[in-house]
Amino acid sequence: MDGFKKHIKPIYLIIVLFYFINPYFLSSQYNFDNTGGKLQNNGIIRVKSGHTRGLPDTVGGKIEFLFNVPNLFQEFPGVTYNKILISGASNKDIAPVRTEPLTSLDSIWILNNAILLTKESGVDARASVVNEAYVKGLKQFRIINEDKSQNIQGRGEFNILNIDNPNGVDIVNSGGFLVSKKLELSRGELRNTSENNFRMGDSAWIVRHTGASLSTEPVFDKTVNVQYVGNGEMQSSGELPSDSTVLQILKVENKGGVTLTKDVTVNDTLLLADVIRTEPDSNNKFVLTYTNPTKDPIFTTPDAEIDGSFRRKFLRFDSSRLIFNNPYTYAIIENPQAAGSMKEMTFRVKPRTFPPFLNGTSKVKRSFEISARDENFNLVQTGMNITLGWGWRHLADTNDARHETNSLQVPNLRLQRWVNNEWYDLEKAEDAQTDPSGWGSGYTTNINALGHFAIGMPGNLYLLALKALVYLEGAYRYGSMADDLNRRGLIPKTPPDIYPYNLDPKRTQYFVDVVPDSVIDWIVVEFRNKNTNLKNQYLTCFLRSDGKIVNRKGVYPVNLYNEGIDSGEYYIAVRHRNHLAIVTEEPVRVYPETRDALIDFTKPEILLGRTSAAKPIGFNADGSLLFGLYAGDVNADGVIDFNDLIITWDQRDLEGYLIPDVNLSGIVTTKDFNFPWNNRGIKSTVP
Amino acid sequence: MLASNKYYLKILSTLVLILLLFFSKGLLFAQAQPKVIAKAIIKNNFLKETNSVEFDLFLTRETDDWKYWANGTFQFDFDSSGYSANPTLHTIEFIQGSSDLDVSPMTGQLPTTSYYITPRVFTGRFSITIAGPETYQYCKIVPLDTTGIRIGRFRIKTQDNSKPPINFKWLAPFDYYQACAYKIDEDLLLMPNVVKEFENSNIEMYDRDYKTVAYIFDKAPEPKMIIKNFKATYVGRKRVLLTWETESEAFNKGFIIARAERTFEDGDAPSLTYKDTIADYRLGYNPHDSLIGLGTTPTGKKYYFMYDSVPFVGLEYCWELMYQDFFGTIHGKMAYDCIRIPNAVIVFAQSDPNPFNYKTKITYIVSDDLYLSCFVNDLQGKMVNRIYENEYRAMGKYDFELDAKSLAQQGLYNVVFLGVPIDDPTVELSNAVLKIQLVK
Repeated sequence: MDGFKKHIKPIYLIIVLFYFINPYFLSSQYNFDNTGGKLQNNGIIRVKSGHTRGLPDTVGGKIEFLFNVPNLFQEFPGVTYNKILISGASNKDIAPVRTEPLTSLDSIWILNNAILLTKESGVDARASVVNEAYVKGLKQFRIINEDKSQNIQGRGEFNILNIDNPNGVDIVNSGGFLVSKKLELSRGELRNTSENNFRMGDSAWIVRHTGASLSTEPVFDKTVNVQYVGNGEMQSSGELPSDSTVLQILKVENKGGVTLTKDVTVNDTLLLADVIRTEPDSNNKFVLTYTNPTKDPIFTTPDAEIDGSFRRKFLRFDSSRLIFNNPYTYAIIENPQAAGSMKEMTFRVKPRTFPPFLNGTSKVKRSFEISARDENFNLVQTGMNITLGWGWRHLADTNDARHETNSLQVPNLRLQRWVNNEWYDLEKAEDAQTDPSGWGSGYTTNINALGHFAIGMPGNLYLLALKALVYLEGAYRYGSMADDLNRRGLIPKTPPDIYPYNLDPKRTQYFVDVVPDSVIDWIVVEFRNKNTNLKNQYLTCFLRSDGKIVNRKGVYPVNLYNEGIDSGEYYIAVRHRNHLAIVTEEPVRVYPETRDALIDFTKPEILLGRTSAAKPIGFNADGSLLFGLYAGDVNADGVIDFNDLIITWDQRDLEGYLIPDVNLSGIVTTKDFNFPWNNRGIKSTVP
Repeated sequence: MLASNKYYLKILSTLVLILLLFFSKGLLFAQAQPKVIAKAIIKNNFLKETNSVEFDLFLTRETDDWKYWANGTFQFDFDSSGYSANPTLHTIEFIQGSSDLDVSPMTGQLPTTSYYITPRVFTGRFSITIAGPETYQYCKIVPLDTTGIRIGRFRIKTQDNSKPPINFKWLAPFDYYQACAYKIDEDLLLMPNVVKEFENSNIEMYDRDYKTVAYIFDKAPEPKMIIKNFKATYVGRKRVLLTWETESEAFNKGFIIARAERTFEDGDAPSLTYKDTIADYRLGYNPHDSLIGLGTTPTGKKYYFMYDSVPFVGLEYCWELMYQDFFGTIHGKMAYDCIRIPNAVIVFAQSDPNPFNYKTKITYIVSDDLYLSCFVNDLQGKMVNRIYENEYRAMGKYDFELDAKSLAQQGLYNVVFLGVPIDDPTVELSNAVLKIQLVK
């Protein structure tokens, strides 16, 4: 800067072109013969008014365009100046006289409300730039130097500013200028600091090329858009705002993609032609957030995807795909109820990364971790019912390192979920597929729980288990329940068409060759989703003499996944053909994580109605009271009364699989009659 | 000293441990038997007719664990190889009035203050199911004794009139077939403050481990036809009253009585030929209907037949008692009795005291009906006092008092009896003289 001033003081040649009369005549009065030579100048040329034309290609010394009449303009050619100062209220218009833009070799000054118009020619500032006024126009103001860094200062405005200096550009003297339309970071670093910074105008763009960067965030007037271009991988720098409301459009179009170095939020449009990586290293894992629920990310090439965590802050509830990290990784949330309490979702997808945990290397080399949060930002792990699309890179015929299939048979692949230290298969909706773009994909419906996912070969069924303990008063004898019906071969091989078995729409599909040992009768478990608008699901299975509910092969616990019961949170009711039904007071979480949790219906504290809902029939091994379902609701109307007594009496002495056989012995005696008598007046608490 | 104490303490501890082990082992192996709190008993089973068998169902209370009987299901079958209850062959009915319970006929409703008794037949089993009152106040209190209550007597019949077996067996397992409950008059607690069953609930008596019901078939002895006695009694005018008593009866449809005349040449009664059937239950009308038997019964009955009119007096007759069983067989020689039919005479006369001072009692016996005159003569044959004059005297013993005031002085007198037989052509006039002495 001192050197710059030094050149101003010794004035050796002053060519003063005074133009005192009507400026409209200037164009014809003062013309240089601009035939490509160089104007040797060691002093200052001040053009206080009028246009300047015909300058040689290079003008030495310093030239000042100073016309200061508002609403008038001063034109000068876009040649190479050593030092150029542009001042005065008149618009300063660069006349295109060559293909190259106006160039300043030493410095360029734009002062005193001057408006430098780059309508047809831009500016290449090869040294210092001082802008205290305006640079407007569609052509860029480029700061470019191949050999040394440059400075920029001033509180002026650039319409389009291009930083094109591999050695970097420093903002000095507190900076403060405004880039109102676009900041192009072509090469080198624009070194700004909190003390020496600049502003980005509302809705302005920052276009960053490979090899360029921005030291820190500028001051964003309101919103900004960012585009990455070029050929090479980049790490995000100051161009991406930390303020989650600022960034509107993010386009990653550089070959090699961008690695984020902080959490970034995109609010309007996200376009990817390559990869966005959110995790620069194992210690720094950032999240790319996208807040626009209606416009999905745009992936313009097969290689485009988000490597890392991608959060969609607002969800969309319809049958369309809510796209996440790539076009094949999505969620479908049919309606708000299907979302459960989810208000936002985050997919962490790691390409070319084996899933963590056990046997991860035997799976597709891509890991998924899906999480969600509710309106209070609490984690939501369960309670939704969504479809998940899952994709991976499949470049089988190449030696491409991006090929993730890991020699697995694509059609058999399925989504798997990590539960209790094991991977469990999720039922696939259709066979997985590949497409020519180099992707494999599949989707899975009825996802009710989130967490770690993998794509792998089937082998370990997703275990959604029901471990339930239920006792029936009628069948209870001496510490267990009697399996008389089974021992007498009276239990039907298919649940009969009576209550409650006919509640189960799948009833007729059930057939057992052999009723398992120790089974006392068929029983129905009803899963009432806590979302009341969802249909109840029914499970018809067997009750064993030890109180355990077993499947139709006698297996305990019951694998609900095999039974078609979705995971979720349910009020669970237990129904039997001649006992009063019971239901849990609170929803029970039925997820793989809870598969070892015992639902102990012998404990009244979990039942709706508590001790009114079930009857103390004996004692547990620990001496606590054992409760069982009230016996005697023969007509299944939810109340035990004289109607039940009469029905029982009318069928006295009969043998077989009979509803009034309340004690499940196989014969109706006065024992059976005494159950409804003793329990008369009791009502089921199941609403 | 301290070491010594430790030594003894060790020994003591070891002994205690051994004892504990010993007794705990004993306790472990001790299997408590369930307490019999009631007995259901089938007894008094008898073939009533050729196609029916009857039996009683009793319930006894053995302990104080209960008192009010509520209801029950009792199931049994014939105890006969290859023979079983069959609803197309058998019927079972409750014999009205045979129960100690307040039994009502069944209606569409369940009983509230009484009992319903519903015997039924199923393949392989008979079932008697009883519903009881709603509240314990109306329930039958079963006495704590060996008899208990008779739930009822029941009759099983065959439709084809075949003879059913008479023995029964309770169907097992009892826990499956049988049920027997009592009613509680206060809440039953599972543990303090935890009600298991409320007042008036019906509690099963069988719970395997602690209480049970004994199901007993008290087989009745083989029924026998036992005649306790058989007696022919002449009641006058050639009429003989026949009476007999059974101690027990077996399949007895009714009695038949035949008569034979026995002369001095004849042997004892069984050797006689009884040609004349004088009484036969098969006639069915009076007086023969009194000979209809009880069938089979452990308890006997007193029978009579009145009267057999013998053709002649002065002869000895014998009677043979017979009966016919359900199967048509006539069982003879069950009992005999023989009597001589007396002539219509005065067979005895006596005064007491004799001699006498103021009064004497004159006793006399007439052996058949007659018209009697009686007077007192002195030794000269002069009638001094007339006692009777042609008065009717049925066969029998009589007496009267003779007062000394009617006689003038002391000394001997004759009391003269003159009898005119009513239905004895063999005797025109019967007389007797009794000498008496008056002492003043």
